[in-house]
Amino acid sequence: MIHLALSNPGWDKNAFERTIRDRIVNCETRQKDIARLTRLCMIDVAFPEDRRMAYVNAPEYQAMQFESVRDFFSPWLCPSNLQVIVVGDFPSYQTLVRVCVECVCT
Amino acid sequence: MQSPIQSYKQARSLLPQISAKEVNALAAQLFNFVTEFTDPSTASSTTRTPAREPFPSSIFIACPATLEISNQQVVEVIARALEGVKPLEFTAIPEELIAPEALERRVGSASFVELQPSDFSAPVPLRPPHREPSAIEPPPPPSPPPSPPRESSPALSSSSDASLSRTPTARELPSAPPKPHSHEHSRHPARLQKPKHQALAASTDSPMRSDSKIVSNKPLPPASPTRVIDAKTGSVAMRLSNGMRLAFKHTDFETKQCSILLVGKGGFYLELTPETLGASTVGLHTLIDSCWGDYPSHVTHKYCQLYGISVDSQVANDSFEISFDCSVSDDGTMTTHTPRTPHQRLTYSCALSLARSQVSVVFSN
Repeated sequence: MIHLALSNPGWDKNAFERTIRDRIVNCETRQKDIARLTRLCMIDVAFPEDRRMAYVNAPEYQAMQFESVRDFFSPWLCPSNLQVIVVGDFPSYQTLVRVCVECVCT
Repeated sequence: MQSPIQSYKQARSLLPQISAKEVNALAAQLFNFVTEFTDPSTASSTTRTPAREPFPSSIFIACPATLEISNQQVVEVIARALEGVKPLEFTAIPEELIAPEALERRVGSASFVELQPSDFSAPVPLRPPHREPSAIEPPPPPSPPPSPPRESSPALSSSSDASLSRTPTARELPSAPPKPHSHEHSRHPARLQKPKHQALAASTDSPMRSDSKIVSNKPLPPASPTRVIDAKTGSVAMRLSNGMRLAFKHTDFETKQCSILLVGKGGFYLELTPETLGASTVGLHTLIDSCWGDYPSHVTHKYCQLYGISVDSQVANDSFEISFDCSVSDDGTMTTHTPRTPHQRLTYSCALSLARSQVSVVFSN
């Protein structure tokens, strides 16, 4: 699966729309107590210029474009940017090397 | 003249205004009237003295609907009230579903295992932590009592059933037979079991080939991984020919359970422009939900469900992660479905801590 995800990642527009819809629903159903809202406001006050510290709201999710998200995220999937960490009870060292090198080394 | 229904409605509207005391008084008067009417000694008297209280006959006048309404009119009222209401369908529960045998089959009592609270009083036998040899050695811990001989283990197992209900401690376990090359510091990197020469030669000298056409038609360059054994974590780090970093560590928390963690540089801190706010989260979730190669998303979901693979993704401030929790069997083929166990969570947490400890290794070069 890692091999397929890295070698030929399929960017599906329907999946993008589903994700946007889920994120908007998550924004609408987010806990809206006073302490949480105050904390969000304090983040905006502390970092007025840096929007990265605050949560993304529903209008910002709706304004996202599929192409921009794909172009933004795709460079991160290059092999030189990734590390695969395998921990567990593998049958043997040879199997681990064969699986990792032949399947992950794209 | 009022219709029976109108009279009934009018009488019904007066019900909240009538108290129980008035009803009892009217009932008493009605009882007296009936008794007087049926008494043969007074039945000859055709004229009665008008009472100051209301006559019982007025009761019948006030409630004519209760006496004059017919069954046909009742049916008409009910039909008018139920006009437009559809009867319920499929409300009858089949009897075979609520039979005791069916309930037992649904609950699965044959394969049902009653959950028991965990016994945390008994320590879980863990492997002693790795200690690097140093000049100043701490004083040795008090030696444990001599372990019972191996012949006494059947007696221990058959002594009582209570001993089987908890995890035996390290001292209770029979001592393993000494290995030919066992040493106190056997986990030291210098004394780790090195891979066989044939395995390394097979992984380094043999030309790599891809078994899928979607990767590339060009032959891949031979891999020349550089292995680095991290003494701090006891893991092996490699740098593959395509630039990908690979780190692995053998753990025996659970047999044939493994956790694969894919870590990459990225995250919220790289969302520098307003157009890219939240793009890392949306991008990763879209990638997970999209097709993998030529396989649609529902096929990959069914594949993961069939083989018990747990896929999870997470975006942090400086990185993004995709984790795979699965089980392996012979030759790396996933064949068994194993639920997520506490030991598997331990394997995943170990992978996570290994990823955190090697952040400097990942992003240093």
